[in-house]
Amino acid sequence: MSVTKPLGYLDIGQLIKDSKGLVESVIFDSGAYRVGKGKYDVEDLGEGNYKISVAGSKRNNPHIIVSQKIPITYQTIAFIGLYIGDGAKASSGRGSGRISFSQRETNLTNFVRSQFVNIFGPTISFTHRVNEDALYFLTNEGREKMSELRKKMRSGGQQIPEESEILFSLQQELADIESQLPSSTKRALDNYRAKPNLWRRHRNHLVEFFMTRKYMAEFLRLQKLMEFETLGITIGDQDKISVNIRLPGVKGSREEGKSSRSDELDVNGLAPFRPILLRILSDVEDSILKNKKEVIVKGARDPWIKWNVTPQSGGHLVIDNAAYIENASSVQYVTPSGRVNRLVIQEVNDKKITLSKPRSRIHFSVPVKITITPLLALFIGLYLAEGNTSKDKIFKFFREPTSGLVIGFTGSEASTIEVCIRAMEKIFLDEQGRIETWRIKIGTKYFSEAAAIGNKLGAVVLRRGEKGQGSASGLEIVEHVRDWSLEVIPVLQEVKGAFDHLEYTGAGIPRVDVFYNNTAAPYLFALMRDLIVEPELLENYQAETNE
Amino acid sequence: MLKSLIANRFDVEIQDENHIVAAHQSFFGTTDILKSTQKYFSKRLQEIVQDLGQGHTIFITYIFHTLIGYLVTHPTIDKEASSVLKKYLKSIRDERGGYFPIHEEFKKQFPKLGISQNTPIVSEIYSSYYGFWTNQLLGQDHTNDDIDGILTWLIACQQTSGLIYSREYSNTMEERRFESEKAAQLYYAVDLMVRLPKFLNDFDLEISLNDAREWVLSNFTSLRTVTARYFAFKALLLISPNEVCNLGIEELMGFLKDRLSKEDDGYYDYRLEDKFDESMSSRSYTSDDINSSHVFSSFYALALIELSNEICGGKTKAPNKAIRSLIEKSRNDDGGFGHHVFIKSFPTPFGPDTTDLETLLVTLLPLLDIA
Repeated sequence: MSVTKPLGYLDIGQLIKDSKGLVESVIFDSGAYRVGKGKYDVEDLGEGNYKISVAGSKRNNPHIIVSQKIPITYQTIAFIGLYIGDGAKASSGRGSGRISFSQRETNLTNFVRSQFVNIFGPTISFTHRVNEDALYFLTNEGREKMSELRKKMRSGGQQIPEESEILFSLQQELADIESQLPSSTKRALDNYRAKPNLWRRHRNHLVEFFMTRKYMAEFLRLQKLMEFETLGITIGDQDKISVNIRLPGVKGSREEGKSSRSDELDVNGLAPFRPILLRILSDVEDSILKNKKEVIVKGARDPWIKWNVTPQSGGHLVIDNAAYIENASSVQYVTPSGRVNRLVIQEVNDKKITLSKPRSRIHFSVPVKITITPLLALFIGLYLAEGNTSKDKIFKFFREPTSGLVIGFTGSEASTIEVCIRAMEKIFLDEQGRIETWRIKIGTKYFSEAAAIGNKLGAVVLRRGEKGQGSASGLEIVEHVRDWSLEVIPVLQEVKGAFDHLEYTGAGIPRVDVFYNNTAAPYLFALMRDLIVEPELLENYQAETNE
Repeated sequence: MLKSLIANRFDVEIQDENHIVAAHQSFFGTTDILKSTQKYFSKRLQEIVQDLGQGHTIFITYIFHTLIGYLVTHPTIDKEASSVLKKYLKSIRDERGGYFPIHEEFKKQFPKLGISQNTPIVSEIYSSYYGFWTNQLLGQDHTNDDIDGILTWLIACQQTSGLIYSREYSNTMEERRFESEKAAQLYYAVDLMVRLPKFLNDFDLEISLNDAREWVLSNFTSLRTVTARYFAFKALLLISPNEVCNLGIEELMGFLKDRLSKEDDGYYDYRLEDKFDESMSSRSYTSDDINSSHVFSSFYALALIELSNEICGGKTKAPNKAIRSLIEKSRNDDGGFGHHVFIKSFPTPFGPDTTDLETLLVTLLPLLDIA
């Protein structure tokens, strides 16, 4: 099958041997260099497998069992894009570090989980973490849900206090509860107390938080299980679920009743091999951006990454776009009023198909045949991580009423933005494939640096919006920050004139948001969704094989 | 005009050209830096005049600092350059009396700029300060109506807190406005209020100035940046010089000492632990954050030490000679000065290195009495 046929191979054993056992990796992410370094031994187990273990490790002998030739499929590449976008890359400083993927959408989590197993073998296991702010439950509706849950737990035979006892426990003093807390929780509470706004707003919730958070956790654990079941996913012996309920208002929406849930997939048993993972991410992305068919360790002879196709132009899957657009069940969209629409083909010639939404004058063009290249697969993974469209919409827009299908993505790394821009240019043949506008956002943690620019110039930081979260109006600073972005992300020079504004918003490092016209969203998101969830569906529209 | 402007804004007295040469020789042990800034400002002025002549737009911020830098290091400005500048200044004059930061044509450089095409460019306090004094430097006087307009507008910009800022470019609530903006704009407004009435006698600004004074006295020690402290101090110095010693000079000296860099004896504008996340209402920084001492914050710190010593009889010594290492570090290939701002490990410095203001401050630094 074309969609699962390897586009290339990874040979981790070759990497380790050519590196004389010392694998180093550097990946630039979120404004910092994530460095990895680890020493490994490789053992040929026969039957096409390696055992890779941490060199010199006396305790527990951490190891993984991997194929000698790990196939790089479209899914592997999309996984790499997803992890570059949403995966944890920071280290503890010793080379080891948490391997974790942050994603709320269950299809994606399941996809990433399966790819980890495909690459790193059967020795790894998974913890599905669910994090939520206690404020979500601290409303009448939330309390009602807890009460219902406790009722079910009692009827299931669990020893749960009666509601009257629960209510009575809420009348305790915080100081009495605090004295019984473990020291780590006491420290967290001390840090909480040191934030005046938080303490003032939410101290009255704290007793209820400590007395009922185990029920909040159980509620979310069951919810997570149900999400897997709905998609037909079975959580096996390799998996466990862990729930963390945060102290009220620490981060997220910070409003009673509003969810700030975030989910993470922790990969257990892989932390010592983090440098290898980071090396795979950086070298695969780099080979695609540079269009190199082989990646060889410096001074060595044989490649440890080998592509069978040219990364930016080759691929086994070539889609007949007209057939795909007219017939695929995913290439449609459901309007908020419930009407099911398909894109309309306005014109076809031997090179391109011109499309529009029904009754729309905005047209866009795609090639008659589109080769799904490693570049496109990487873009799909990156987009699913960093795209501005909420992920649940991408997986349901073709069957449920959905609004707000926007095409745009956010990043602060030159490589990520370049992959996305180049891929869009290949997918679309006209203005649709070009950025309409882009903007820069600077988070609160870096306001001091923005003010420093102003002070260097003798200008002042000015911004719109009552809370200052609107666009920046101190124009000297806007101009310099724009110029900085153009240096950090050189590909944006091609769209310099499309710069829209600077915003002081959120909390993070300066990052760029790029926006495209949204008309082609149903087509683009159908491609993304199908490649991840139902790749065999794309096979039905195979035009011909390439290379 | 130039000498009094420099004395007021930058706290240094220039006697004549020889004075500045001797001061550089004494402070740096060489006049290379002065020659470098001389060349820099010559080139900058030429660029500005050329760009304006070709119909481009330039921020008044840059024109103001470049013009002063040029005039400090050159005897006069040629007639043609002066004429081009005057014409541009006319084009950025607000009918109400202030000055725009830049000409409306600027919007064409940013066709999709979020200050939408329907939103006019309006005057701001800092740009009005720069515009007004640039015009005065060029020998272009203001009419009584101009002055009437500016002062009326400034009075209208005063908030109940005593601060003076406009809400046209920024309607952000006061608690969220950056302290360096609040203090600097207060200073610029107070400067115009205090010094303009010499031209016109029928404005009673006593209440406005008193409210501004109250703000400084009440808020000075809560300001966390050197820049904000500097401008607040100078605002009070203009309004009520006898009261600056009431700001707490010992506390101020301790504040400055806490911001002295061990590496180069320059001054940070803020300490890392003072980085404030306004959404969390708490301090917030990471181990990847890099703080740098800067020319502007170092100059302002030294100026505060000088003024405090002079007015309040302080005896604080400043690391004046050692600060040379900061100046050397801030020297750039274009002949100008200014140290990088870094965000984490981004390889490219955030914003400009050289700036006209900082190059001017390096030019004037040896003239601070503390040097």
